[in-house]
Amino acid sequence: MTRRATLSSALIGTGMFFLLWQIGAWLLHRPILPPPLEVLPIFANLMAGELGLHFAASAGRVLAAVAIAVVTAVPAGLALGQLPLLNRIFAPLIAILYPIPKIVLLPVIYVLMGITDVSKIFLIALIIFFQIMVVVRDEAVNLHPELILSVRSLGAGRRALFRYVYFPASLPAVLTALRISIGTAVAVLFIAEQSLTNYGLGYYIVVETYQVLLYPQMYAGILGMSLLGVLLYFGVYTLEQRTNRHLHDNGKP
Amino acid sequence: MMIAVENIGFAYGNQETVFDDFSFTVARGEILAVIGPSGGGKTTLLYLLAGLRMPRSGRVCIDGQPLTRPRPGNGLVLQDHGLLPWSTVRDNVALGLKIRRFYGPDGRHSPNGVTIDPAVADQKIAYWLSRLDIADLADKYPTQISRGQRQRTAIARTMTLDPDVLLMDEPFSALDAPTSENLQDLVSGLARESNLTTVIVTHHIQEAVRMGQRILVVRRGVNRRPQIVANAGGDEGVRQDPSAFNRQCDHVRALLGASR
Repeated sequence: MTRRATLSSALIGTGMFFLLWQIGAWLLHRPILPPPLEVLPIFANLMAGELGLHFAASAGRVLAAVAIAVVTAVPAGLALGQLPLLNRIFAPLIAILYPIPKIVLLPVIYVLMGITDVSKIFLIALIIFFQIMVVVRDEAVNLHPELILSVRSLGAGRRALFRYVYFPASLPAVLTALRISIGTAVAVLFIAEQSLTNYGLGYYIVVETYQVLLYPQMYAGILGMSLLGVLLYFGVYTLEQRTNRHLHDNGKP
Repeated sequence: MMIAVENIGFAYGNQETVFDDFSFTVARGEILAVIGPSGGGKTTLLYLLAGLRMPRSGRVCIDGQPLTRPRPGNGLVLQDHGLLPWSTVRDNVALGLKIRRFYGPDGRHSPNGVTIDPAVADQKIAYWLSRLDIADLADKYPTQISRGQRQRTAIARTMTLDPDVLLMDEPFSALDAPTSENLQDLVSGLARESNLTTVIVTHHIQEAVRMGQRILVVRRGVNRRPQIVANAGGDEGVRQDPSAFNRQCDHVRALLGASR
């Protein structure tokens, strides 16, 4: 897809979303679903102030978690993929841990790591970590030994191999894993932010608006969370399109 | 002697020995063709010369120095998969120089005292792109070009580093006959022109006879005494004379048969 096609389809999607919302509001006609035209000005207003801070807090947590997950999961996945013995030892454990919903560990993490941002970021990082590690491992297993040997013969040591072979080889898979896991990450963020913090969109939606029946403001919070998810998704998507160029214009000369 | 293999022994894991007390030499500027059945240790031998595998006993000396790791002056060209699929032809050709700049002239990854000026690097890349006739393809990705063009890219990448030893593992096996012969002549020419000591591993008898100044025949099972055939390959005379060429091919074929 070209950039213009992506942009126009995003605009059409947004338009349809607001249209359906408006129709739903007309049909339901109750305070729990205020129409978008009432919510949007409030959203714009709040984003410039209080809501903006909550948004920044949430975005900061997700981005920190993503950074931690990438930095730890890529080397771990590469090591597993390139060292068959290590993979044989850990594969059964990973197969068991991978499908466990990490959110159930929330209380444990709170007790062990304290009620700080660190525990929330750790939980989200944990979820993304497994997604990325598994795809990087599978990608590293499939790297041709000939490719690595011939780059080594050009003088590459471990550092250069990482920079010129392993990292670019796993980057597309890392981005795909990120794009897929970003939705889960934002969902977990929402749950983790509902308590034991004073900032974050989850806190804003549940504690500051929902529990005091400020429905239009609550929707502004929901819009903020949606915007966060959409921005992260398309951010990763754009990076993916750039790094995958050799896979896209694949026409024969 | 540019390459001296001295009494090497080698086996994979607990498997059968491939080389035992095996020695041979290659003179500076000579082209040695290595031929043998698959599983005969041809590729192993090349990896030993490249410093990518270490012998269990004995040693490999290149230019008088015992080999303990990949040597900056060795160029290696493999049959396939040697190019980065996510990089263009130009970036692939530039890779070796980039790696050298990344480490600096430490003598381990690039020769001591050789610093690479980016402008000179660009000139070299442009020279080898056009010398190997792939300048038009510089912005294409490896999947978009033919196998022969990919092999030209791999050769260009190696040549940018000014190697003195060129090691090739079945470089032309996946190519059709005219493309293969074309590249064989190109490599013979490059080797002569740059006084490159060349070891080319192949399973094609004609290729070995066309290119090798001597031919080393390896066998399946344990290799002890090297069987080396003198060959006037690369010499126009033999190539122009079909009956001499065929006689030499038959000779090598007989040795291969005997070694099976």
